[in-house]
Amino acid sequence: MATTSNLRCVVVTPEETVLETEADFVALPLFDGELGVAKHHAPMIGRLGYGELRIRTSEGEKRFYVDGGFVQVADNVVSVLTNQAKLPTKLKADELAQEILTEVHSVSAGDEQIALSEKSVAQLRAQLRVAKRK
Amino acid sequence: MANSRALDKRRKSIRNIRKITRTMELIATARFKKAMDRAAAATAYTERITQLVRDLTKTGLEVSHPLLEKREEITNGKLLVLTANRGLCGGFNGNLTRAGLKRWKEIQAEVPNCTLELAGKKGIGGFEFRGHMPDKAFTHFEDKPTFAEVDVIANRYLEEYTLGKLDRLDVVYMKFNTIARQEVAVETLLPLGSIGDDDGAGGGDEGAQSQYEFLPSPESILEEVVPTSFKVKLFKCFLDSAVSEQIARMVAMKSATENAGDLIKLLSMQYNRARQGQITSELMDLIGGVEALN
Repeated sequence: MATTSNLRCVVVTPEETVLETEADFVALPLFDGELGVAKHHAPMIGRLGYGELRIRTSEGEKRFYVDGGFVQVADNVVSVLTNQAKLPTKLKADELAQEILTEVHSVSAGDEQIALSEKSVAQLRAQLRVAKRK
Repeated sequence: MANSRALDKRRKSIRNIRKITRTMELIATARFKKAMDRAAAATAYTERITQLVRDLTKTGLEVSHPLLEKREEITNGKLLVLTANRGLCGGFNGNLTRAGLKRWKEIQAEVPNCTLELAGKKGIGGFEFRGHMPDKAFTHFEDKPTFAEVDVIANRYLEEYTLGKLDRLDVVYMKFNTIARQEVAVETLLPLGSIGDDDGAGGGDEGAQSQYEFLPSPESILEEVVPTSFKVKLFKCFLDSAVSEQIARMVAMKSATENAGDLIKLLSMQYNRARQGQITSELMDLIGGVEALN
């Protein structure tokens, strides 16, 4: 393993490569909490949850909302595979709060619908959290 | 000879048409480039997913998932045909509709319960004309299908599949091989068969270091990877179809423009000949008149 190379972070969605950059530190929203990855992290494959991806680079911190997916860490490369990666500036807190309200108050019947509704509420809440942290 | 005027009129109208087809060719070229970029961007994701799956399988994990297993009895089949919303793209829609119809008849013969889903106005028109009403039709896929749009459809299929309302899903679409070569492909997307077979045996030996840590566990990751892999495959079908449509239109419009050029040349020749004939006959008249005066 090369010792001099820096940590690299690649964020890809099915539509595009959102980001490919050198990074000092990456904080990943795993399905059960955050995980920090610095240089020389052990190889790892993990499941992502809904939350905030923070990438600290020499130019400052970059933040994204990621919508589930996977992360693979190997050879100082962090590959984030996600369905969606949104910039926090694109998220509007007021609208999200409104959407959560309507979703919570909407009636859903049956296990699947309830699961679906819970999922979207979790997604929305995560987005709201990211949006509020500006 | 009034003929020359008629020829000139025709030539003018062909010139106008040539302008239109040339513009359409240029537009198709621009759109093709964009679509191509999107498709290229999508492969980055596919490659990484395949890599991830390869690393997963290296752990000696038994790859089994309901989406991968073939069902013994297929009672519910589904056919999805991806066509374009617009015409003027050569044999693109015709070929797809023909292949789709053939497959649809086969499925109807094999599977008791089958449903038909169509994307693209041209395909819908083609099927309806032949008396096959689609159970679902999509017309909102233009030259830039987004993942979110495909995700909705993919989720519905996955849900139906897990609930046992769907045993098999076939997709008919225009597969993009190279810029010069696209072909109609009929693929079975559900059950998936195997995951990550896209790039064959590509680089299987590089990893003596598959010492991955898994969070939470390889099984749970696999459980997530398989549906994702299906979605990506379906998305790729849509992207391929969009790229191929633009290429088909580009080629069709290019040959239309060329043909218009040839026609103009031919008509110009005829027109010049007719005009010269007219002048000659007028001259003859004149000379005849002068001679009569003498």
